[in-house]
Amino acid sequence: MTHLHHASHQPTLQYHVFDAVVLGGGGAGLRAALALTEAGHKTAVVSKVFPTRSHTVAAQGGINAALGNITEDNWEWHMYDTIKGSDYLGDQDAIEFMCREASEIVRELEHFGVPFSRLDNGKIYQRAFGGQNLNFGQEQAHRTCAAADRTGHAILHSLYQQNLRAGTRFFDEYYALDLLKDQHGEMGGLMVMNIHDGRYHVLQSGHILMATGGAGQVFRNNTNASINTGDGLGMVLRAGLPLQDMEFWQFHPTGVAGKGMLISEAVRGEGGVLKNSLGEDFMQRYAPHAKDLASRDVVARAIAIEVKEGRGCGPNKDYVLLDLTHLDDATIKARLPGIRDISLTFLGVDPAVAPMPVFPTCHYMMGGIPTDLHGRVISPDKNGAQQIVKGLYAVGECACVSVHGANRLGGNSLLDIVVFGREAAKTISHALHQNSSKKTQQAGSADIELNLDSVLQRIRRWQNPAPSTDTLLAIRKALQHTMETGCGVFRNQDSMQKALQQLVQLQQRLEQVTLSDHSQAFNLERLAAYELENLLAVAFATVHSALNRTESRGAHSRVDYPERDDSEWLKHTLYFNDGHRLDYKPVNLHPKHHAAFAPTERTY
Amino acid sequence: MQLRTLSGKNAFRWQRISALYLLFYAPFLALWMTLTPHAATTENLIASLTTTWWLLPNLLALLLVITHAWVGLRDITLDYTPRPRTPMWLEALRWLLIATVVDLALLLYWIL
Amino acid sequence: MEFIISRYNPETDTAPHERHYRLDERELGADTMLLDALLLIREQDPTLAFRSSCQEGVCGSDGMNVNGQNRLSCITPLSGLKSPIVIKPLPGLPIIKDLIVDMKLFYQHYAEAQPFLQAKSISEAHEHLQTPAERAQLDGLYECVLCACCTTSCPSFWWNPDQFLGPAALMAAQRFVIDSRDIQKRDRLQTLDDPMKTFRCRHIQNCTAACPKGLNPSRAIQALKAAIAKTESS
Repeated sequence: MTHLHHASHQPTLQYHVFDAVVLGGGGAGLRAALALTEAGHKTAVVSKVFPTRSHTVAAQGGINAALGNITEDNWEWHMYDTIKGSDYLGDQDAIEFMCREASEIVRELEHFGVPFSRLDNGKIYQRAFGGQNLNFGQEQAHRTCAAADRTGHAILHSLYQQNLRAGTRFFDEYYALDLLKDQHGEMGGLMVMNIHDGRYHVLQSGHILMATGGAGQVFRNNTNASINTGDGLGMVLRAGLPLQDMEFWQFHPTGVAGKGMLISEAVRGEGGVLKNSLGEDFMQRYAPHAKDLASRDVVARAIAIEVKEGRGCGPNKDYVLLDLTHLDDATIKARLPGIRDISLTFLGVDPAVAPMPVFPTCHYMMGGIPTDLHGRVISPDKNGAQQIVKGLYAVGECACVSVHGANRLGGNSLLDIVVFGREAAKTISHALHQNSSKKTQQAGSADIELNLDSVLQRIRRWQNPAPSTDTLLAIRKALQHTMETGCGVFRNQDSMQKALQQLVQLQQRLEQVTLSDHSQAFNLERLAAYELENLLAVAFATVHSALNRTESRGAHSRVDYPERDDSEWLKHTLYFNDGHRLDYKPVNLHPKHHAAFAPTERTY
Repeated sequence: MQLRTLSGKNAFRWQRISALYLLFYAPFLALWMTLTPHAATTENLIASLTTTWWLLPNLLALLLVITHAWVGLRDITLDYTPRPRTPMWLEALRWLLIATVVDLALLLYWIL
Repeated sequence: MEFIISRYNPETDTAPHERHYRLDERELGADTMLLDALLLIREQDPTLAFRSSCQEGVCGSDGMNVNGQNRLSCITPLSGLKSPIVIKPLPGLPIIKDLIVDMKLFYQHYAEAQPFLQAKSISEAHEHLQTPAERAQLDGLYECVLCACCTTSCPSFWWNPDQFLGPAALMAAQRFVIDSRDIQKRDRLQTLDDPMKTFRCRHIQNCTAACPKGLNPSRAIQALKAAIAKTESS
């Protein structure tokens, strides 16, 4: 039995031992869990919501794979588009790996039951999506495999269903607080809280896979679910490990203006057009070739510029219109039923009749926990050499492999989660098989001591019964506002310096504030407190990383440094939270099967 | 539980079949009764209903009414009776069914 | 605008009780959703517990009973609700706290319906072919978000919650029965040929009236029953 370090008033803890623990029940976590369970490993999935409520469910447009069902296609073209889309910050070995795996993994999803839309010949339907072309940047590609405009829902539910079949053990509505290290400083487990009754549990395992998703809640206007609070990122930072490329946040060009619901790129893929107050389809000016299907960062900036220059629509001239009234009703109903629902519900308009008001909205975090292309977390040692962190893995939005670089292509996030979810599971499985003798000895062995000091301190910190006038909600709102004004679509030195000062103040407020509710069952205030600690850590990582990168690349768009600077900045940022230290590492330009793509000017 | 007597599928089938039959039978019976004045007294009615060409459809209707009612009663038992006593009620219902059928057979024997 | 919300804290209460809240009409726009209002109420009272995640009706977290009807709060416009708005947890499942119910039974029934594709094993170099017409059979079935609005509005489920699978699970079952790729149709139908699991459905239609996604579980169950009835007796 694990020995507890001297902690007074410590909560009673229940211990569970697993071969592998997957933290997060979204697409990445479920794909990994399925592979691990099927390989016969005792696997637990911990999720703070029932798995099908994870944010993968909200992905709409589709998943990229060069199946070539509509036109000839191949993975090299997909690889090129992804690298170009990443503004050359993506690691080319990882991108190559992902694009090579894509076709097989999409077919595998189809075998799992995903109800993809179909072509007349019975094959998977593929739609046009932004930033994707044939033949290294020529004609528009049809590469995005879709289940109407509910692809994420279809994939997440199918993966959950397959896990039901396989018999994966789920800890639903358990919230993970922190990673636990053993006396040798190696990953040994996870402290989690059952949200139903507020009891704490320790999940012991030598293999922990982070699949905790994004952190879009750091920005006020976002397309993300309220659960996307960067919990895994906060945990990793507190464990002394870095986060990579946190300055790169994707603002989706078409969120419902002022509300944030996502209007899929599929709308433009199916023929929708962006228009300004003059009725002009302005994307022609910004991307003469790809027009509305340019890369997301390009389209988002174009919209922001149109609005800034006074060509926005509406009484406050603060949005543009996404027009698909020229499409016929049947196409909209068959291909975009979910978008139609969103438009009817939240805007009260039928998109076949009236255009939808849209504005760039925080959507996706390109940065995250640095990993190699096998899902293993990596961190520089004292000499700056990248070392594998034993027992810790990360996949999905919380990870940074990096396949998205400075800007993700639409349809590549669903691909990312399943490709690397499966790959990380293979890696873990391999490690478990290699150490099978050691594993049995480890499980329940007496000589493992998990260090619980800091996590117990964190738990106790929120048990402080003193009243406070400040509230968590006020701090969270201030944080979101700070990030939006200081570090949004466009940034500069001043705006970010100001944001940083405000973050320091918010940090002080967070240290002072106490809870008004100390009950045990579904105490959402306490949950919000743990989440806010993570959000603030993510915000600091973002602003520090962004301040230091004096160039514009992909989604990181600095007014004071408008040009990309490959001589100085073709490298990844690493952020550590002790002293907000920054470090850098080179971009991988060495794919295995195809010649590297040298950075060139990026136009669409 | 005495559910194997009639599985979900078979109960569903018989309920459908009986309903369908009665759907056609009932209006026909009503029409026949209004058009047939000698059915005014019970004796005459029974006599007419048991004439050879009428006997079979009438008998069938009677059996199907019982079936239909039994499936319905069984549904009500399953839905409403407290779980621990449901098997007892189902057993009682089965005996009621048997008794009804026996009773009917005797009645027919007496009439014919 | 007045809200009457059912509150229950298992640590201090023996039974649920009502609490009244007020929101200034000026805080509420014409297009405010019920979820937005609940979030404002939570600013007054941080102890109020309800589930919520995606806020756009696709995750299925925030099912609750509003003025007698099961709904997802995030896609329920306030403008369509009569004040005072009476909010209760979904009926028929144990309450954990306030508007949060224990969905264990609901998920168990879902799993019991074997909601996973069992297709012929083929190489990953190929996809199972499916015509657009075959794929269209799944429309209206696969979009379910597992919010439990249907199942918890179903009297048949209230009467036999432990044995009747309920509309959501049965619709999931039908989604795989009708999938042209599935090869276990016969087994599925045989397992579902049970007076309790499936045939408790009396087509009361509450499920269809409640579904926030506009699906029709009742019709799906009807099709399922018909398919079961057509199988040969074993």
